[in-house]
Amino acid sequence: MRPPDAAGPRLLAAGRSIASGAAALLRWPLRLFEGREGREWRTVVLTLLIVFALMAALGSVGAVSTGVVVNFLVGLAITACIFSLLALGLQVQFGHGGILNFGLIAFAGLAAYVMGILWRHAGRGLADAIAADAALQAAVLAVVAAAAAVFAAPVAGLAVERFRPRAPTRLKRLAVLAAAGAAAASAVSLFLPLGVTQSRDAVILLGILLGIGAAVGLAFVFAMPAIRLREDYLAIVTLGAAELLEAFYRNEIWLTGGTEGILNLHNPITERALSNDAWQGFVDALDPNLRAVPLAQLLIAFLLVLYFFLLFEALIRSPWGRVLRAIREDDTVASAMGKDVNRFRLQALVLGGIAIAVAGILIALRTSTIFPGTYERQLTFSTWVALVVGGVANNKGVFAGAAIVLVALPELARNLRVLEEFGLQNIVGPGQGVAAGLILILFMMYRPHGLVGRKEELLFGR
Amino acid sequence: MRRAPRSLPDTAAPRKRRVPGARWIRPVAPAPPAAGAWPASAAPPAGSPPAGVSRVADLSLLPQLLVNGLVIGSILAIAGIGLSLVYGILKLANFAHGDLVILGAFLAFLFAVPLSGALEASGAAVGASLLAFLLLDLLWLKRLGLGERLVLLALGAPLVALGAFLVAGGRGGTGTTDLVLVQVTLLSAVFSVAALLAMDRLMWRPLRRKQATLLSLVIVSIGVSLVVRNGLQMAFGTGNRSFDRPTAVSPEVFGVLISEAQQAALVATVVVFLAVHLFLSRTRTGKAMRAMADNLELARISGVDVNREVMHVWVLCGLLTALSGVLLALINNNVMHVNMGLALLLPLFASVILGGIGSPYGAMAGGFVVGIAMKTAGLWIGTRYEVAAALIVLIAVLLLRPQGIFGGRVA
Repeated sequence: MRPPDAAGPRLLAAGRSIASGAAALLRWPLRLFEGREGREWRTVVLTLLIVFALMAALGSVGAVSTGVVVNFLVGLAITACIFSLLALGLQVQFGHGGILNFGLIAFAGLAAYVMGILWRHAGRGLADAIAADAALQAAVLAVVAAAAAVFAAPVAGLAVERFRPRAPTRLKRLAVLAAAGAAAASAVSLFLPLGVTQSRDAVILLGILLGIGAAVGLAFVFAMPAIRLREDYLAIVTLGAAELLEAFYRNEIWLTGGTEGILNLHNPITERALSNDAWQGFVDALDPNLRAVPLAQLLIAFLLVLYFFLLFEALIRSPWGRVLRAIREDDTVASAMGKDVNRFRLQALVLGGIAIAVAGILIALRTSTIFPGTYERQLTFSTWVALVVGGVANNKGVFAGAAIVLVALPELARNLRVLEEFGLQNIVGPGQGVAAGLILILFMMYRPHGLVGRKEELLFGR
Repeated sequence: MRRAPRSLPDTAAPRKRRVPGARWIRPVAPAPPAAGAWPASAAPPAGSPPAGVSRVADLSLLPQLLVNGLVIGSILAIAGIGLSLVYGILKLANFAHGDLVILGAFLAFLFAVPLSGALEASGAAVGASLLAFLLLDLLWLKRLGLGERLVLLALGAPLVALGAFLVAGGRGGTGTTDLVLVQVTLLSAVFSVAALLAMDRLMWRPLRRKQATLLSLVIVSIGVSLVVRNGLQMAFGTGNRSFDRPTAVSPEVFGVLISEAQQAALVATVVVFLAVHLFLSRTRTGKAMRAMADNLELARISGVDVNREVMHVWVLCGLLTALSGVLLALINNNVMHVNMGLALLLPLFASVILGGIGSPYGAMAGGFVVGIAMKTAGLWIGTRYEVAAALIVLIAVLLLRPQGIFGGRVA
């Protein structure tokens, strides 16, 4: 019955399916904005667009060239990424874990200082020793490989579960192992041959790992006395411990350099961005105005935020996340169900603390310096305001909150500094703090779930 | 258009600022103490090492440190009563309390130095408004008619205004004399109370209505703390401010130096203790407050007008924070700094939790314990880490006896 020349209809059908496939592909970005999640994403993206448009407008006032504006925006984007990571850590600790951490800056400061102190006191000597000694080189490469594998494994696992959920478990394990091995191999290849520069990079990497370890230790210290107590007690203890650490940075000059800080940190990002011709060429091809180093910083900060965001999203949706939220809602019920409340809380504190520690290290690596004034309680409070503005218990909120409170507000204040020439000293700087405080109060009173927070998961202000 | 190297929200302008004499307040790099400036280190026995350089404890300093601890403890005790009552009755862990203390000091400074010319006038105005407030408050219960209230006000206000004039008129010359100090403390107390009542009306009462949780109240109080601290910086700058008083030589009592300001602080604590005790045990309002701290619902159904008593709690809190703020500046060689308030927060919470939340007597006892612990611990761990002692006391209490010494009961 088929007509002899079936090519026509067949071609037609093929064309139709291709067209519908293309249309679906085109619609796919729009589909992202459908439904509840989509609406939340829409709010976040819109906020980011508004903030950055505003900043572009501010930056182009009196700018001599577009290059200046572009670089300015890249700088702001780095800030936004780093502070989003800071707020993301707090989101896990407070938004999902219900832990009132008013000492979050202690995690960031401690991690950065551990890295800085290692470099300041042992850096060059250790690097030279590594470059000279084969056994040390092997040890360093082993550490690098292990760190890369640990870093890559969760993402590989997430990808496998996302795209091949029905695969046999052995295959999944194999895939994760392969990904971890690949990550380890590529990380090791980054450090080969282990010359002086690479050894210095390795020392900084060692410092970063030690810093993250110190932040994890700090989480245990915080948890020891207070995690089984009421939230307000934990708030006071963390605040006090952060103050104490700050006093330590300032006063132990022999170790931390005091208020002078730690200068001239070796910076792998800068070194590699400047020495890598391919990256330079890529940046030049993108836009001749762009500079290689900030763009490399932006790339790394963005990838890290993305990494932690995906990780935390997956964790929050997992059974672990559901238990955590159940504990936040009512720890008596959760413990009656046989869940070890303190253990889950400690895990939330540790996971959030790792994200905050990475953000603190990024802050230090951005300028290759560490000052005690950077890691002060002011940043703790600003991060809290950002969290509340963005929305508690929703990981997406931190991007909007950080963009508004930690990027736009300081930038506006910086632009208003010209007022100081008209005899308005002491108005703009503190005014920023007053504004942050008022924003916090008003949001807590009238929109306690923030921009994209979830009302049904609200911890407060019913 | 390059960004500043540290692109952080830098509202806290005084980063490396050093508060002369305020060594116990904010751990700063060791500074050679100015002679007569700070009694703790004003005249250390010969050969005593500079604080913080050597950690060898010199026990001959112990009596002096005990006295200094008592003095700091008295500040903590006075300020802690308000924090404890608010914490116990309103279930509000007020993280702005330290900033309210320093707000009291700055208000006093405002009237003592920049507005000293207008002291009489402002005293009179404040006296009149104070009277109006007191009368209105009394009349709240008596259910008088509007006409009767107006008559009472019209009769009473000029009397108090006259009294304020008489008090204020006695001062001669310039500078913050003792009399002026008393006046500005009163003025500061009035304005502190007004500020606290306004805050209650604008924030805490609506939040109470919404039955906001402890968590949200804590976060709001952080916002209040930000506003107050930065607002003070806007008004008074980031530097040190001080009363216009000469530095007196500290008299020596049994080999221990006690400045007049320290004596005043100790005497004030005794007076405050007696007054608060009489107030809480004898007056109707005080009894209502204790009842509310014990069990709010029970007090409410027993006929306590909760909103009115909450106002009274804030009034008491404002009076005591203003007094403690002024005393804090006085014992600190008349110097005050915006960040002193936040530094007071941890010791304050430590003393309140140690004494038992909601217990004013416990807060006073806890204040002395924490003050002495901080001062004497400074002998071993260095004066810059005194706050560690408060933290350790706090953690120890939380671990061993989280309900506090007085078990969270009032009286």
